[in-house]
Amino acid sequence: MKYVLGRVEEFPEGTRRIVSIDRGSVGVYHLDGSFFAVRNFCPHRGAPMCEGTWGGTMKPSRPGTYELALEGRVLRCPWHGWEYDLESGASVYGINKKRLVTYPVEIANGHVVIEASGL
Amino acid sequence: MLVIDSDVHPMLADSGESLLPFLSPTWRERFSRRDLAFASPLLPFRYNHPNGIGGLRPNNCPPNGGLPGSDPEHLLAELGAAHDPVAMMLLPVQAAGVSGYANPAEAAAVVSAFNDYFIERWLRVDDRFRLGIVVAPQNPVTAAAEIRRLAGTPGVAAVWLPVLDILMGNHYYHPIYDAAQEAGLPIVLHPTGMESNYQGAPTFAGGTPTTYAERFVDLYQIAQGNLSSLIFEGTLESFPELKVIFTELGWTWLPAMLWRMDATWAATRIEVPWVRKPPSEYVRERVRFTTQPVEEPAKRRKYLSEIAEMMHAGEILMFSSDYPHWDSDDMTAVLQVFPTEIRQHILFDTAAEAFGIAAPVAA
Repeated sequence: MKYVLGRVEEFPEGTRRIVSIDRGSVGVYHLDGSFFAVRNFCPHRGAPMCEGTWGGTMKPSRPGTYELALEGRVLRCPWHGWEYDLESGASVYGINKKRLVTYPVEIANGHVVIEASGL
Repeated sequence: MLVIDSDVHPMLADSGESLLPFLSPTWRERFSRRDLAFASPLLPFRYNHPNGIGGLRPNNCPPNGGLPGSDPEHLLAELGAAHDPVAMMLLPVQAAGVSGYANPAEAAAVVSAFNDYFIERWLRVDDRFRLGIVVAPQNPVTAAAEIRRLAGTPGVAAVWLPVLDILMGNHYYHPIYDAAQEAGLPIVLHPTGMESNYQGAPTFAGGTPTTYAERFVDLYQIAQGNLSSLIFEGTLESFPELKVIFTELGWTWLPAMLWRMDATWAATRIEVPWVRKPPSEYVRERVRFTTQPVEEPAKRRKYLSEIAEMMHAGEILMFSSDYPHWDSDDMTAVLQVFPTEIRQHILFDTAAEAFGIAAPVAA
């Protein structure tokens, strides 16, 4: 079903906002002109995932070298630092099988709307 | 059941004279002038075994005299009666003592002489013997040359790297790993007795122990530090064919360490992005452990079997007697502990694969 999370102007570019709906909680990210919605729950130990920071990460590299990658695409869990891809919800670089629940976002009549089977 | 004994200690039969023919005239002059006794380095040790002769079992002395483990025929007879191994990995502890030397050239000369001595006097005596050649860690380039010199010698099946106070993941050792990988020889980590004895030797965590008892218990620290170093420095990524064998460093501590490394990696991968999979996977693929020493809890079979399951012992644990040391338990008791489904792996299969040992053809 569809959930209306708020008016578009309540989600300014470059920010994250956590919205409570029913018994659930969803983080909405408005980054580089795109909207992403993520269930506020880390599948590792149940942390409020969206209270963590976001940014880039290091891609698998040769020992002793660092290569920045996935800039602005990585959510970091506030409890244990687990990293997930913002869009797909998958653990970065497949380091484990856990993944975040993500929701498709659409803008309808000036509102941010997600499609979710249940919260 | 076929048995490979992954840790057997051959000794010089005398205090070093027998090594002299294996030294160049130059080094013979140097060492004989100093009256250097290779086999009797006990006095300068900080940690002498309270029960004597360097922790060797006095009941294993050869009938004709000499240190336990110094007569290959006697050793074969004793191990044959104990568990009749089809192959034995010889690790000369006296040679590894060079890691306490200050002079790199001297250390390199001594290990070369030891290696040649054991090739000539032991490997040629019986084809069940395999040798872990010792390299001097003071100069990794020279050590790599020693590996290349002896790679391909029949019976040479491992490289014992007696480490310094530089952890094994450090790039310092890369020339050694490069040569070992090229030769298809695993690297062996094993206590040398030098730990916390000399400046430059590996040190125990937290401070300097006072007694042999502390030192013996604390040896696991050396293994733990080197294991996490190998994993998180990405050594096993840099050397994708390299295998490392932790010998006489216990194994009951491993489950907690595997779990902790995996959890820490998941949380801190951004610091070590070259570690491409959970650390425990690298261990299961390319790090091995030997059965000595082993703890003796009250419910030995139950507890040790549980720990064996937690650490995937059927994939990574290899039987060893540590003959002729006595600062351990009954070397064969461990044979009764493990479930039958993994016993053959521990006794033979895993070591056969690690050391490249073929099963003997049935007569």
